[in-house]
Amino acid sequence: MAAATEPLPASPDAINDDILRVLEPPSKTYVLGVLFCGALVACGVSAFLYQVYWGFGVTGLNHPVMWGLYITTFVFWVGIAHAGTLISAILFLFRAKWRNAVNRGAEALTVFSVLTAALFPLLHLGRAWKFYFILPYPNQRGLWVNFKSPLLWDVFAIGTYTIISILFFIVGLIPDIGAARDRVRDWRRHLYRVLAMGWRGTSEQWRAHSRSVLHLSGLATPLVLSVHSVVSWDFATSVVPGWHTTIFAPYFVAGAIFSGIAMVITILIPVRQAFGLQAYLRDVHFDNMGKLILITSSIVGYAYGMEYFMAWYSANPYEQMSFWYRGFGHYWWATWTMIICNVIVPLPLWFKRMRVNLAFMWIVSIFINIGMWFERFVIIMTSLSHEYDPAAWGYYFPSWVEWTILVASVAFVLFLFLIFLRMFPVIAIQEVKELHYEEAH
Amino acid sequence: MSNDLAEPRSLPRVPAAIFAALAALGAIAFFAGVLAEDTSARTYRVFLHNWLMWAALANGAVCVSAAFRLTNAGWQGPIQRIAESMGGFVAISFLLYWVIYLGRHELFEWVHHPVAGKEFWFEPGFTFLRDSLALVWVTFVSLFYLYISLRPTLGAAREAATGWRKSLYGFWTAGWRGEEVERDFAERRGRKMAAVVALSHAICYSLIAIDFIMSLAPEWISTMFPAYFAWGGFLSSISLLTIVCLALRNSPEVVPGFLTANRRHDLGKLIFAFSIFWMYLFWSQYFVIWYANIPEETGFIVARLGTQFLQDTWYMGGFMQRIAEPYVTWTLLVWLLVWVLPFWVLLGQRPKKTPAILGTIAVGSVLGFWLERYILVTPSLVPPSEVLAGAAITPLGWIELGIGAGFVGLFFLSFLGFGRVFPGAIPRAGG
Repeated sequence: MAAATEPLPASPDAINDDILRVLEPPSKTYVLGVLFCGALVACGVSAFLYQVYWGFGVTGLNHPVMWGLYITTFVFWVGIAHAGTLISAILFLFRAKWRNAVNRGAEALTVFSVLTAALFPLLHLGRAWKFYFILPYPNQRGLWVNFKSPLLWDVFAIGTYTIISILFFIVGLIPDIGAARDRVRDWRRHLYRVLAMGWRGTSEQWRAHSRSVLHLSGLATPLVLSVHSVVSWDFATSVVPGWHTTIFAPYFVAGAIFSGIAMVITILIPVRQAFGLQAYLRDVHFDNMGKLILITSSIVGYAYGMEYFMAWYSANPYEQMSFWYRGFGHYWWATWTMIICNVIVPLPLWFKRMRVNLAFMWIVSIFINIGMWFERFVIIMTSLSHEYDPAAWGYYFPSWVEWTILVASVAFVLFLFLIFLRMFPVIAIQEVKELHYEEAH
Repeated sequence: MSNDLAEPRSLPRVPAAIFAALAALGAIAFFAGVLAEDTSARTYRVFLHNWLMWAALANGAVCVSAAFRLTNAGWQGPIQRIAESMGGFVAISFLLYWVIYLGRHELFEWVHHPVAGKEFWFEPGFTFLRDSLALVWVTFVSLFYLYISLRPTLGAAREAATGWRKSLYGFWTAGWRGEEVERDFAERRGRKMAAVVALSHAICYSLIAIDFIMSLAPEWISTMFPAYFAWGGFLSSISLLTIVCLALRNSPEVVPGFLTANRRHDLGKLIFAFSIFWMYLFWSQYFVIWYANIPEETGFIVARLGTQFLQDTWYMGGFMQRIAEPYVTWTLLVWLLVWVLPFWVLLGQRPKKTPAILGTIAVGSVLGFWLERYILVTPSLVPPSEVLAGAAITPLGWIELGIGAGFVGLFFLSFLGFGRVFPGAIPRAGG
């Protein structure tokens, strides 16, 4: 299956028709997909309630591994959330025009991923209903949060990121919601009327809109670096072998972009097929996303190599033991899955014909999603289960409750994305029109 | 343009004389320093820090050209060729590397005494073999990339050149298939080689950072440091590229008006953004070491930022105590020149477009990197305790300034010479 190179439709109205077609009544497959994802989410909710009722004993968490699948999945979803901001903010500032067709989908994925990620620290709390204890505000309990803890920095980093990505998403949507408002005749018209915020497409409004997008891009760009850097410091500031390493911040950021782009590809290829968007999601988009994957995969591979090298070079027996354990200890299968999926599998993308082969790209993207989840699993489990004292070594394997919640989190993101697909245009109409205009002139 | 290309020029006299004088000054300072017993170690140390600066910068310049290709950048115009001309220095830096080999007994403790636990890695023969191979590889890749990129410009020159140039161009253009085909081929092959150039820079200069900087304090480890050093090579080359472009903008020999306000703006944006990234890498390393407070790691920072590194003394009294310690002022000056000033001054659009402001910041950035390389090397070889005991240390001594000037002279002689050997390397007036 090769990517299409069909020309864009000749008239702006045809572009409207094509993209807004996704808002028409859904097919049976779509409804079944939503129901299926919804059922999986319900399973996850049930598993969570079961955990709340019986306590943390129903998970695999035990001494010495107190961070398990939940924290792994938290980091995984925060990472996925980086694609939207990279594509929308950084590539916007770099004037990379190809981003126009993929930015809306990536932004939506960012918002849904970051919301899903935010659930996991709550799932990991022993008493989830006390979640508000982590927020710093004057209270009658006389308790104050510990600002020296990287975990609290997460609250701020993720909180800021959530706000900015939602703002970015909504501001970008306004003109398209205006177009949708003028087209649909059902109940959604009322929703769009509110969300369009009086959009009429006047030159004044366009000017304000462009300025907002530019300023939001400027605000969002540092967040691409800061959010996952802060997450990486949850680990790196500790004195745990395998965690305390200076390269973690840029390595986590590169990994986040790597996984985020892979997830965008995983989702957009089926969407492109299902909604006939071949003329909009073209080979240039997949070619460029493939290149981004190559760059970030190389950085991630460099970081893996440097970590192993420095552990050996350090002549520190704890570091050496920790990395030997990664490769050849109990979790060897997870480590090699990580290396193969993240470094070896993307290698064919050095060839352009593989980057525009969508079937291949889709398969590679799924391997990367798996590999990046395993990367976080490896970092957390291998280091915690084998710290300094052999008498305190242990082994962790997630329980069915945790696996269920992991699957439900994937279903939750897909569920939200499917709903989004029927509610809002998945491709930014106005930006595609601008591109079309520039190509024509 | 073709006719113009076919007439190779001689070196411009005044600049060539100045740079030759600087190179000669460097050679005199080097030999005078090396031959005097009490300054021999210092001379090799100064040579090492200058070599690290200019070798990484020259290869960084090739990476800048490669980055233009890889990102399909369309704004740079002749700036790409100027970066490539700067990259010509990689051949000379490879030759100069052997001076470090000659001075190994003065520079590296592990040549005499094996480092506990690192005997294998720092076995002298193995160390210099792998570094030599890495430098052979990275030099070959960079020169091959430059050759591919510049080959299409040699066709016309080959026809008109005489003497040794004719044989040289004939050799370089063997199998010539016409300018159009050659340009197309160079574009396709250049893009592939650009990826190899970038990867080779990251890997080889990481190795150099480990073997020639980290090894000076062999107990210290940081997974970030090699990448941080390689990135510094890239950023310093952008700063120097900006200076060269600004210096050439009114030259009668270069395409008039090639450095438009938009291009100055873009160069300013590169310095601005990449200096933030440099600081981000620095901070990510510093912060993790500061927070964990492990002696094996903090020692490297304490030697450069003072014994109060771990204490909260950012009020005025504490600050004055801090800068009184050896090396601290220079380290803070590096921050100021490489990040603080580029960030705050280049925030707006107008400063980026104003040649005087952009040029001042770029000069500061290059000087900052020169000091940074000094700070990375010197405190490991002359620890602060020795300075406090009376060891005379300054980056502004006659050996330091002399060898520094020598490298500047050699670099720009190489730059000018490269533009003469490859007639298409520097865009010309009327081209």
